[in-house]
Amino acid sequence: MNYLLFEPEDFALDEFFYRWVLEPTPESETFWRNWLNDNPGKNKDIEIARQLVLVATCDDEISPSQYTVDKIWEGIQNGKETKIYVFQSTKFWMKAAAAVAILCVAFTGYFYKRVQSQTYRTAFGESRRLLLPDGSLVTLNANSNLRVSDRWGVAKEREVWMEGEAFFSVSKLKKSGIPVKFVVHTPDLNVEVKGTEFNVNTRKSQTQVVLSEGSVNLYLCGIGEKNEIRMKPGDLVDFSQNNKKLFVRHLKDATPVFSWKNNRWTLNNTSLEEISNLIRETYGVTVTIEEDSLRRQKFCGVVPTDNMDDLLSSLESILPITILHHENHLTIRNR
Amino acid sequence: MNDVDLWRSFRSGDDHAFSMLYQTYIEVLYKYGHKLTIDSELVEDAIQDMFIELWNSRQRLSDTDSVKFYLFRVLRRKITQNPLVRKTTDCGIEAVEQKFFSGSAESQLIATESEGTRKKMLSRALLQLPPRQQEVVNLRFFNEFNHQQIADIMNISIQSVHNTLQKSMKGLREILSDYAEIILCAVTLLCFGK
Repeated sequence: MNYLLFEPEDFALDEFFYRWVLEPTPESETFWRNWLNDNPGKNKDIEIARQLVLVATCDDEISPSQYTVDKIWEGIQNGKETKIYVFQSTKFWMKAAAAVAILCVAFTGYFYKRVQSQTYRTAFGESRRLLLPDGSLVTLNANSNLRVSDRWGVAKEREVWMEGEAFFSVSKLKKSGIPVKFVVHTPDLNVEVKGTEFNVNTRKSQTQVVLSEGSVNLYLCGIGEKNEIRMKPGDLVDFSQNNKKLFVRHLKDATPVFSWKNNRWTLNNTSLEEISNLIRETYGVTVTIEEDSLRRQKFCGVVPTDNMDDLLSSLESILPITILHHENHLTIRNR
Repeated sequence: MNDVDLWRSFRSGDDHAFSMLYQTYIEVLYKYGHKLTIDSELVEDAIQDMFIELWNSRQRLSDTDSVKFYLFRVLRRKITQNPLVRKTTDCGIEAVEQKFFSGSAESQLIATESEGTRKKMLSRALLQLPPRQQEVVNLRFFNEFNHQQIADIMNISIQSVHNTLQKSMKGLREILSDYAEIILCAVTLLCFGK
């Protein structure tokens, strides 16, 4: 091996070299010490190469928690129960097959729904980006869930069901020349689109849809025939099936509605009461506002939501309030 | 018991050997899985499925001289073939954005000693490499696979393994030159002479 021609990168990738960096043996120690004595000009290169090896072996990924390790193992144990039997007698095998066939028919209906879809959930304080099989991107806000039908390959529509809040960036899809609809089902309405961007929020026992670009059709649930609404970019629609209340508004700038997906809230004349509702829904804590006058005070500003503590300290810095945080409870009072 | 014996006992239906295999490899598999996708749930599901399938098909499995290699190859196929995999390579989706720290984790971070902080910074250097380069570095340096094994696991040619490793070392060197103070600090740790 002619080490004289080596660049630092080559040293780092050389097995004899990096073994010496990680676990020096008397042999390798002698070799490299002599080599450096003979080639003092290479001191710097060797140092860089050592750094590269140290960084490359750095353990940068998060280890699974004991809880995760146990959870996966438990899943494996449960999965193992389904054993494969090999039957010897043909007669017995036929009977068994008939019995299995009957059972299959009986259970198909029961399992149909469960097997045919996949559900994604987010915990409090967590948000996730999901890439769907058609290339559409869904950002799921904290404490939300999205169910995706597994039958996209055969179905005429791409269907998802959601609760909580999510931002959809739907890609256009055509099957044999015909556009394939993308449908979001919520308890209050269905959103039908072909390819566009919009935000859906089902908190506060109603569904709110805000369209960012393109166009969507809404089909409100439970009000009979004339239930279709066509939305244009910037439109905001609130609808609740319970009290049949419909609210339509046009926003000059809809982007503040989506700012949560970049870990920010844009407060625009937002009352402290609304802010505390958001905190409750996002982080799963209870919130008490001590003075009534404080509830209705309105605020403007942009606050970070990566984690609750950062959010609370920036709220404290822009508002005349003190927030006490004790376990899962927040108390807000005048400063 | 070494790997090969463990594998044999597991194939003959030894539950204990199966559990030992799991305990031995869960951590490295989990970490490697995260090089392929940022979706923890997907990694967990893939590992779970893989071990269930291993158990259920244990009689049909053959001997292997590297259990670890076998497991890595199966896991990679499972994760990359999932249609819902959110690849770390999707542009616009940043890995860091996904990693939320809860309040307590954050304060723990602050509390770590300077040695820990240094390590953290070094590992961040690694995270700045493109996902594919991170993957080969993980396989080569952290999991100590040889070039042929890496090629087989990733289903690419040995030449691409070689090129990707070269590129990642070049990349790391550039990133490290931005962290001048770390280099300085490491130099003081170095002791060549007596």
